[in-house]
Amino acid sequence: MKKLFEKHNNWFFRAGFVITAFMLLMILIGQFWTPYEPSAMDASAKGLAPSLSHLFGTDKFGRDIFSRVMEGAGSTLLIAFFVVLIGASAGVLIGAVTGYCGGIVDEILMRICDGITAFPSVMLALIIIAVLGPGKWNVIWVLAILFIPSFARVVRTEFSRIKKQNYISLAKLQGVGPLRIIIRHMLPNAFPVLLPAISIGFNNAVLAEASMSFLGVGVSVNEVSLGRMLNDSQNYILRGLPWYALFVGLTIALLILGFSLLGEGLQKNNEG
Amino acid sequence: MNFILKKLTTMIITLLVLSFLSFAAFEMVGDPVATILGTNATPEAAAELRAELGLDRPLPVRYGSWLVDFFRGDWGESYIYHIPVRDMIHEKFVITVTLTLMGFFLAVLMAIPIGLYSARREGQWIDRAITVLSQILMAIPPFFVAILLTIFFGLLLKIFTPGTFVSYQDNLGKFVGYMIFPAISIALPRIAMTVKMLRTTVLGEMQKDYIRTAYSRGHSRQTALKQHAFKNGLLPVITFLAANMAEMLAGCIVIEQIFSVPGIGRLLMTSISSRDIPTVEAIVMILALWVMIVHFIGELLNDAVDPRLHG
Amino acid sequence: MAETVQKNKILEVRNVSTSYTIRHSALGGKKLQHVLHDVSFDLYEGEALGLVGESGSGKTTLARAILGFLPSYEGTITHYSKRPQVIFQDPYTALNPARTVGWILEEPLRVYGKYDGAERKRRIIDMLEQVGLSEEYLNRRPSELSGGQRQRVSIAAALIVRPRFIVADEPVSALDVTIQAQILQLLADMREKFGLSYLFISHDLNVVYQLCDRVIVMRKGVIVEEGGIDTIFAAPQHPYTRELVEASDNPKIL
Repeated sequence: MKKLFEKHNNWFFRAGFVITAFMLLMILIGQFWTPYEPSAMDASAKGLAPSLSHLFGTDKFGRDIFSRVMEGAGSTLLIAFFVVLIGASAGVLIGAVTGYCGGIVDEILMRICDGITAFPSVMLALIIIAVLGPGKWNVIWVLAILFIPSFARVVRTEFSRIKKQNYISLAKLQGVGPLRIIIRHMLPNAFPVLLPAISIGFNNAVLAEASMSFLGVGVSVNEVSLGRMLNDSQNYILRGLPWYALFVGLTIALLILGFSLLGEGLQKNNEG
Repeated sequence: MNFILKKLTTMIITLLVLSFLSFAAFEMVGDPVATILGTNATPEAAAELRAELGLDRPLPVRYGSWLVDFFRGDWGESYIYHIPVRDMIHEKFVITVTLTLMGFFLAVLMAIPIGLYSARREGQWIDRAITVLSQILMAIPPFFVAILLTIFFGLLLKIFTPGTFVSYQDNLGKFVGYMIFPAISIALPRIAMTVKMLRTTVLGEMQKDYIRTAYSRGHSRQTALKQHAFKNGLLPVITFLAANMAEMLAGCIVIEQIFSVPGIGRLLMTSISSRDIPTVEAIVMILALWVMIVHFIGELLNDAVDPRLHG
Repeated sequence: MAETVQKNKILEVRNVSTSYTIRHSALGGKKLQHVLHDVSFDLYEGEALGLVGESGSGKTTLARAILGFLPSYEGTITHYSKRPQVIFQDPYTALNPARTVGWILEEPLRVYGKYDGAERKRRIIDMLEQVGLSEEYLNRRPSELSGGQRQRVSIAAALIVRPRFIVADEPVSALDVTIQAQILQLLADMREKFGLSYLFISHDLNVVYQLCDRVIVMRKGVIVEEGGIDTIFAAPQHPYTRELVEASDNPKIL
């Protein structure tokens, strides 16, 4: 960890790290403890403004918004985590193979990636979810698949560069097999470009989940997530209770800001 | 030339594949007969309607005829409203395109002066403030901007009333007035990105030889900035924003929802939930076409700016 | 020396040619450009053969063909030993930057698969000492080493699988003169100790003179002259060789 800080000595990385660490800590705490039971209704505390007892106020059922945000953020982050995990794993696999092999397979796969990335992923995702129906795992799979090209492209570019290095020729000459070359010799050298891509992936996944659930084509009605809450909170804005939307939006914005600064900071280091 | 042809082919193939997939998918989920007749229709009536809608033919045939009809301008009839989809979409499309273009021009008009100013004041506190601010704004999702604008200008300052959209056909002035805040929501993150990009480009240009030559000929830094760096920085900005038009369009779908703007995004969402398949298919195709065309223009501009990229 | 018939061949190169097509315009007009043209020579056991030529003479392409990195060529290349190993010119790209020296040296042994962990470790440390480095370098990364140290690690990595034949592609030309001398000495020592054969590629006749018994001079993909090192220096036949000999500002003729 100390090494990571020495290596990434820029304010983007530091600010991103602080924000992300804070958000992750709050989410982690929220898994074990929240000020109130997130779904507990309190008839005597409906639609309260933010106060010391209810930091973010309460909704029309008297539920504590701060507790709900903690819970919802955890759910959103979990979705983002699986999206990035699946998308990055598949992307690394495809990018590594195409970057290492080149040729016609590479050409075809990259054309497909071009085609997919031409479309905003939120737009494609909401069309697919419209067909599949809402739900947490539907959102995860759709976004993960749509995120594959961005990871594949980054890894492919890096692999086709690394492939030409002498140490790879040397490894071939020493009789190291292709699979071992890809995994043990090349992959560790691709990490510097993979890390910012993963950070930006989290950024995009949180944004996509929030947008989709907000539009009602994300997680299903009885599941929790920040986007889902944003959808709920929309009705409150015009009724003069704006803080619900404000705090949910702020939470999403901070999560995204943290990941984007972190990604920027990691990238800055690669540029030297 | 070769490059353009290649891009064009990719574009057309992508469009065909995407439209076929979405066509097939939507045909599979919703049974339009049930949508139109309700669940307690007689089997005879259902079969008759099926034949009337052409649903008894195999899928590729239906897709083929749908595609031909689409490009002829016949987009079918809404299952719900029983009016031609084309008539239904027309107004909404104009609204959404206006919103996107307003966002685009807003971004150009705001980003260029700010970016240039920031570059001119390089290293001074104002430049740093702009850099930090744009880095933060870049990461703020459009819908959050929209919420803030609604709360601040709608609820607190009461400059506009959310939900009082007026169509351009009724009152153009009020229409544009209402669209300003949605446009700002879409434009703000783009402005931030563009400012950052422009600043980097201009400062990069300043390092180049011909600018140094301009200096040595006695031009001041200001003149050098204006005459050379500006010209060479402007094109990349427009290219960048053109490439961003697709993302802006996607942003519109969300923004329309928040500001209750009855654009194509809102129609798409309601058509999806009511399983109005002809409308959904037409909108998907239009969005895809729009994205592809915008992308293609972006690529062409990019190629014009830096042909080296393609050997 | 080359005339000693009794010696065993370790490499036989026969009529090797390669070419590529250059396109003059987008419309066509292709032209065949030869990189190597009908190259033939032999390399004997224990011999150090110098391959000299200016850049663009095809010597690196020839090395790549011998190492098996060239996808296609005409003619035949026959190895009479197991796979040759290579030492590259640029020590900065020859070592995996993400790995430690110990890992880099252990990898070929791991792949070989016949030694257990302790035996591998023993061999690595032994090899490090052979090339003039010590055990403490095991956990260093290439970025923490100097150019000369990196080249020592490269040599160790090439030798650890106990090859009989080494291709050295300009192994010292990226180094300072003093380091050059040290690395050349190391190569000479290793040759003696392990009975190695070298194909030593260089643009610098002086460097070749210090290590090699025999020299092949290449120009534009063709071998223009071949002979014992002293013969070449004393009486160059081809005008190009003469040029090279004169250009070597310090001909150390005995």
